[in-house]
Amino acid sequence: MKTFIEFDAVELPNHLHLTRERVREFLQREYLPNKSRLGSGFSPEFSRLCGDAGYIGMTWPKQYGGGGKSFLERYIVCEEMLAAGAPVWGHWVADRQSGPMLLDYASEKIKNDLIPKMIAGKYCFCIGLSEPDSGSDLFAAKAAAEKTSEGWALNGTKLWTSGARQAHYMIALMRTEKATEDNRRHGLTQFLVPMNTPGITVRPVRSMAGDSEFNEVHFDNVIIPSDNALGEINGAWKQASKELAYERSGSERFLETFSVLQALADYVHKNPKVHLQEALGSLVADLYSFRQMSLSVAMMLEQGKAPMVEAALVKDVGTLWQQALPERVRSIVGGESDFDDQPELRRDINRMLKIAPKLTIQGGTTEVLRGIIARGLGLR
Amino acid sequence: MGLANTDALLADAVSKLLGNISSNELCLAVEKGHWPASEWAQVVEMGLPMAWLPESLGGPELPPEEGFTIARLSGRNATPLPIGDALIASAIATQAKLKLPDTLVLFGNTPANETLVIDSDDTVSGRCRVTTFANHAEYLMLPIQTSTGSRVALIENSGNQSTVENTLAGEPCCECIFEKARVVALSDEDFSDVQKTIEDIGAVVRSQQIAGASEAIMAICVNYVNIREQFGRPIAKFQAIQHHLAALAGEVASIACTADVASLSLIKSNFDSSGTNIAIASAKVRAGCSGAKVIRIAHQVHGAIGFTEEYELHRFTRRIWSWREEFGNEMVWSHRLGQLVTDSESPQLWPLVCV
Repeated sequence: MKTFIEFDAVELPNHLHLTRERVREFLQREYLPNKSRLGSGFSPEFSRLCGDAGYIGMTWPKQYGGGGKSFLERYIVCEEMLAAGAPVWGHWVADRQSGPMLLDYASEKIKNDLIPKMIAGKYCFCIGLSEPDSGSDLFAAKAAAEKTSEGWALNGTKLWTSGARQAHYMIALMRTEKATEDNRRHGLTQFLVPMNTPGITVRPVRSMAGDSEFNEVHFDNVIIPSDNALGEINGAWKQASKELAYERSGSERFLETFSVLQALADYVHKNPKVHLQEALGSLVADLYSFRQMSLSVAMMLEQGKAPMVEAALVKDVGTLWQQALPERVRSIVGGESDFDDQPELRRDINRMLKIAPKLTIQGGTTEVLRGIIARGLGLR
Repeated sequence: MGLANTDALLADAVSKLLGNISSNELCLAVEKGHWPASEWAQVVEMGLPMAWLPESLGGPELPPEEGFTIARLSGRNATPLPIGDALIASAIATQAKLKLPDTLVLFGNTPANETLVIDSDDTVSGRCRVTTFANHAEYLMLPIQTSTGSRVALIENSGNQSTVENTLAGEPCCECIFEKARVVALSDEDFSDVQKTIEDIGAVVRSQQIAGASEAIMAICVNYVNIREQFGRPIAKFQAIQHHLAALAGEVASIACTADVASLSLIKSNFDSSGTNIAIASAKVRAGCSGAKVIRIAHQVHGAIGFTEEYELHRFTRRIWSWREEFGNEMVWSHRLGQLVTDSESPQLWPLVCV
């Protein structure tokens, strides 16, 4: 019997420990002393510092100013940033998927214009996929791009777009033709859209967590140059697999609520009772496993593979776990007699409870991921 | 399997042999007290139970990765033989530099608060606990206290034992009681952490076996749902079933990946472990926790047939239940991991997780 799912055990090369040390020094120097000012979300200031330190576009080719480093090295940098709770979201999307996407499909002119500034941490990107009538069902997208004498004219609405207000550019999935009878994925094209183009209005959508990370982006006859179509016209579906593997397998899929686990560890450190140690240890073991799986996908990406199913698996198990984490920590400490005297721990739990519901939705719902995995298993 | 440097030809040959000998019928016969002598002879012939033992000590001296592959494959076939246990014994013999005979040798643990000593006539008397099949082992390895420290001894198994009870897997388990059992060999050097070493190696071998059994269960499920028709179509076409199996695949992948990482960690440390190793602890916790989920889902998608003795699912299910208890269950290892955090000066988790 040959199993189709293989997560190779990854042994990190020694020089990467040095990379890790350097990131920790960087965070120690640039982030931790200014934590309250920089926050943990968007920070143009922190993104530029990351750019200066060479932490954006690490794997991109040197001819555009990239680092030419391995995916594993980038992985180390990313996980250290997330574990520290650093405000990486200003360059995260650009670094994770928009940059690689442009490098694969954009014209030389666009690459030369944009990539160096992305690497410097000066450009923030957002991804325009979901719409009011198409969320999980991406291929139902209606927002349209029409060829005109000036280039492309965009009309329609994107919804749930993270970071659209801060973004300088959007990579937008637009309808350029009707789907065909035998291929409902046909007819969509990806575009590079400068967010300052006339005709774009962005409306923040306030979330139950109290933030406005999501936005509604409206396109009213937005004209962009012909050159801004990325890759094959009507064939965006062919270009998605690598990008989705980047998006789904990273450490953000199990580290978003990590601070609440650390808060539990701090508490148990002061109250080393057997049942608390056991509960903590069990969660630490979970984290250890999911990180190893995620690291394994980073290795596959390094080897040039497109591990769609493996990435879906990492996101499925990782996001369910990080979503459940605040509930589990609550159930571990909630009955302790001194729980009322732990306002910080309670705050941590509450903060993470509020973001938990979205974690299994953004970037592909549990249900979509399980469909992909089921297909990989040969069930559909 | 996700370990580098493994020989695909060897894995194929092992798969073929274990696939041929490991049937539901044989498992059921073992449960009724049968010892599969000819099957065991074939496995020994191939050198599997002593994979880790160097040539100088009577073993085939395969690369260390291969021992873990053999453990994984024994799980994947639910082979009703003490392959994993003999492997573990051979790892201890390698460290103790004890030459092993070409027969079944198992490691016995003394109960807490009891120690074994060698009497003046070079015999030992006492008792020990062995995971499975001790009633068929010709020799036992034991931790021994001497005036100059701890040693490992190879003794003749006199064959006296407590009542044999079957494990959840239906394999015989007993306590060995020996009186004036002849000591065949004694290690030269002190081996005071043998209990810890055996628990570490045992936990990884069991994690690999559970990984193998889980992979087999996944294959059995995929096959079954594609064949079984209800409501006019194969049940694989129902989204509820697809989601069950997708969840199962995640559990299986996490067990297998963590078991491989733990194996690599043991190989790197040359099977010598000090302190709680997070890779090993995580592997056994994962195997225990996720193993239970694998079982639940597999039986749910099978319906009643999966609950029968004639259908092969049970021999994998029951082995996972049995293996997860041995060499520290997930509660024990979770506690150790938690202790590791609370015993250290700083409770910082991240540096611990990304070692």
